[in-house]
Amino acid sequence: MYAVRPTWKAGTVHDDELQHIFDTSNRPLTTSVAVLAREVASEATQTAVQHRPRHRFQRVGILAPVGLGIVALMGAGTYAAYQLSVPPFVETGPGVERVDKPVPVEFVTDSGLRVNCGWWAEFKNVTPLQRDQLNAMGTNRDWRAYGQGMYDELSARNRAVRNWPGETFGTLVEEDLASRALAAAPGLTRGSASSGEEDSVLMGSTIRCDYPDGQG
Amino acid sequence: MTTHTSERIEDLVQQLAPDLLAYFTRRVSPPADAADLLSETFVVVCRRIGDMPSNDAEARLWAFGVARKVLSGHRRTSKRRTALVKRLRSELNQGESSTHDDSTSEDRLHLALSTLKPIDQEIMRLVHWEGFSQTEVASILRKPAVTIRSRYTRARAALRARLADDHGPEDPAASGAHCAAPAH
Repeated sequence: MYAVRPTWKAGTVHDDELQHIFDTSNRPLTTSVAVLAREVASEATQTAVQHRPRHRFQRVGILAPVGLGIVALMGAGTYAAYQLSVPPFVETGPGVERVDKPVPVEFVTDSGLRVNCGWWAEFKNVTPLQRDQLNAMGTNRDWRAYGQGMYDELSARNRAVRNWPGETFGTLVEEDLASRALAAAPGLTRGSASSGEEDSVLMGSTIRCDYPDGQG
Repeated sequence: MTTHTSERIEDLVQQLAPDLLAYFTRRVSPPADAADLLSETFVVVCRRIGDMPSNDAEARLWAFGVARKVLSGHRRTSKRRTALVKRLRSELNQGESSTHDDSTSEDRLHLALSTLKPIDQEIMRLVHWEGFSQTEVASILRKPAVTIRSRYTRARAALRARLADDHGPEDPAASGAHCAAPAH
């Protein structure tokens, strides 16, 4: 029997009773839990500020939009220099590896601009199995709808990006794909200041975006 | 990070941490997982602080939107937990095992909610548990307000009907109810 107030008519639930049913199913937090919640939240914000991953999104949308056609007109030496200047071709830190193939993150903007991004996980101290699992991420499923789905999640304000991926989209993709990487390679953890020297950790990631049809 | 931003984050922590914890405990099983989600939400809030609206009321809605996103990506994996998160998990576990007086009522509500579409379930929870207006729910779910209003009306009617069916015909005399039917 629900803990509802008596009704004037059998077999009905009125609006105030509906709210009462929700209220009785709502377990309030104890004071000690509420205090702990604030402490956990405070700790999380301090950790986030102090330990941002070293390789966050190195946005290269400014360089990449020249497109392949224009790059082809540049001399081979220039092209090599161009490549070396653009993540993921820049060096990682000592002991840090990067996946062979990126996770493709492709979408078309509201204005019809085609954007092809790639997300590279960066890690260290992984086992051969974990390395294989991370390298397989880019090919072990059909990612074609993924990027568009993430783009569609953006508010109109956050779609006004001049050079993709942009901060908000980049963060969304990084958070989501980092979680997937941790799930794909059991035993891998997020790198932090408290990570041990020998821990298998996800150190960070790089995302790079190209405009295959030019920037429009 | 500027002093002003730090103060805004601290305000958000003080005002919203318990509300967001409650939000998660109502939506995950076991409820102890809410501790991880709360911590993760504030990490994301910090990273996306540049997106936080300057208006406090809008910032609150925005934070619930972040929480919703964190929840949607929630996977129960082995996490590195701090001592504080472990303590909070422990507290939530204890609360879970000692507060089952209304479990039947709670189970029936959850059962009735489960017959609704996921978005309608969330609308009902946000309105009746978190106390948001329908306009605020529209902001959190990033849907047009008119859509939320019509979905809420339909979902509320469906939930009322489902709960009434579940409740069964009631004989006011037998149940001890004292409210008489209104005279016509």
